[in-house]
Amino acid sequence: MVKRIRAGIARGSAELVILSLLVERPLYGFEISKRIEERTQGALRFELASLYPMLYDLERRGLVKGQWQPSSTGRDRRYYSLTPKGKAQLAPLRREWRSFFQALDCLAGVGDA
Amino acid sequence: MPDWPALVQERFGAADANSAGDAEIVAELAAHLEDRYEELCGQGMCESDAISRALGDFQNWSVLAKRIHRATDGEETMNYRTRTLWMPGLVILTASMVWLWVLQRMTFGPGMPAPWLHASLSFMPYLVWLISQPLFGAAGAYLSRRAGAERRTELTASLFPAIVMFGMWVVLIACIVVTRYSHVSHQWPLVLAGTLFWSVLPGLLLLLGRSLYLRTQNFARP
Repeated sequence: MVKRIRAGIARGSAELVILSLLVERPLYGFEISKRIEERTQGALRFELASLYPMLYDLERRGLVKGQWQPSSTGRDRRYYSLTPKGKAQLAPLRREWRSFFQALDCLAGVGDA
Repeated sequence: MPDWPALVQERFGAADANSAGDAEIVAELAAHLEDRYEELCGQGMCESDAISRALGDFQNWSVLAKRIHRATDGEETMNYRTRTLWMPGLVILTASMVWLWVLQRMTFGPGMPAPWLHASLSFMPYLVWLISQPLFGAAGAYLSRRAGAERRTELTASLFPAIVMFGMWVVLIACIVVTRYSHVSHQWPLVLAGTLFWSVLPGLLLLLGRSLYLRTQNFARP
């Protein structure tokens, strides 16, 4: 059960992270993983075996859209951008996580940690 | 510069990369490895180390391929509990019941073996069925484990036929208590024997089969 909860949290948080990054501008897989690592100063790191399945899952659900475009190096990369459905999903997802952390803070005082 | 699409395709499984969709996935993973390789070379790593390090980032390619196909095909629609508990449990329950039915048909049919024509005849199908229970327990553990079950779910799936039987006996006991309360004292030995022979003993043997199966396995989680 604990493993399932952990898996659920990991999955939900990964969704939030990816959608939050893509709302700023379209990114390709490698950029997404680097961005996450840089922004969190290495605290969060996506296992690559999870990143691409997650992107394809989001794409299948219509939250992001992948499109091949030339990158800054001139080589084609598959850029992911947020769809209107993805944008609509982001606000409630953020609210959910905010309430989750508030609840966790009330119970475990993680906010002060 | 290594041929990244070829390296990815080789690992990702050439058979799966035939469709246009999969070719696109291969191209995308190859692009990722290319970027990673260049990053590592830029940090001063030698070419061969950078290649193996970049490829190592994906760790288990078969897991990656499975996860990607699950994500693209939407296999997650079958939820965790269905995959790890209900499906394996129902499969072994059905197989176990069909096996009992076959044994009964064989025993009581016209071509029954002569040595079985004795007083213990009626017990023969049951005894053979009981002896075969470890196989069903092992099958339940295998199916559940393959679907990625946790230990407790896997245990429940292995014991599923015995649990269902136990539930049926509990319902029967409840019916006896409710409908024939005045005669209940005459029913208890039979009811308890039924619970023992159709639920407790099979349960123990299912458990034995599961334990034997798990002993043969590497205990590393899938």
